[in-house]
Amino acid sequence: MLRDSFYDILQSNPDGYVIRFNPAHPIFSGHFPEYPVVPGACVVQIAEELEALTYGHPVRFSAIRDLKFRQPITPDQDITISIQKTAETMCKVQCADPLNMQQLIISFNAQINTLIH
Amino acid sequence: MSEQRNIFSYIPQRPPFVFIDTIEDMSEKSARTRYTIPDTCPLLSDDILPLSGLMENAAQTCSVIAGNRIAYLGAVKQMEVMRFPSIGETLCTEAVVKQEMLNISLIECATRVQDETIATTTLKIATMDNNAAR
Repeated sequence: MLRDSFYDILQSNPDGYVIRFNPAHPIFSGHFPEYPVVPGACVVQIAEELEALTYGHPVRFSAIRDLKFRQPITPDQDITISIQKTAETMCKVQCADPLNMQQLIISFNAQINTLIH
Repeated sequence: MSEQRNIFSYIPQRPPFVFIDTIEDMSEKSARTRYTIPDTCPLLSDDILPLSGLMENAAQTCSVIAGNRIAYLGAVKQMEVMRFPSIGETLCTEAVVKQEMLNISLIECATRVQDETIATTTLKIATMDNNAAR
């Protein structure tokens, strides 16, 4: 669980969840020592945690498709994550600049599994 | 018994964000790593390693292939998880370069626990010479 240590939810708005990172978190001292950037895998984990909030119980991403990292995210940069259901167990995740939702940073499609743990 | 290598000569990540323990085998086209999931792993979720952690393990295994070049994870074409491993389980991840176009490599990874394949990942890594970066 990364919420409340690695990141906080600043607000939830019609675009999605606005996320603020904690630049003092130890992850940033290892990724990378001389130029801290948010690991792409952490954004995937955050999206899974946000989806669990929406569902109200734990969910797991069991598959993903077409994940693209378009630009690095620095620890002082807020992001908005939007998650849209595209089928019964599929969703589309888009991570963008809160001030310009057209400016996509990361996008992917995920399969949601609410049963396996 | 595999030769012990200093993994920090091969990957740019440092603790606590390191998702491989040892490099078992490596060449210009492939790499195989081991990782025993510690209870201090930064991507645990309810004592299992979720998709995000398996993705990072695969990506770090791929960056071993890049050697002393700088490697960026550009895309994950597809990834499937058959089972989520728990704390204490040892992952063996093998990455094989399938295609290279200029500085982009398409790499297939399979992650096993003993004989069981628990995840497969196809990703794209962009590499850059260390000299070119400076």
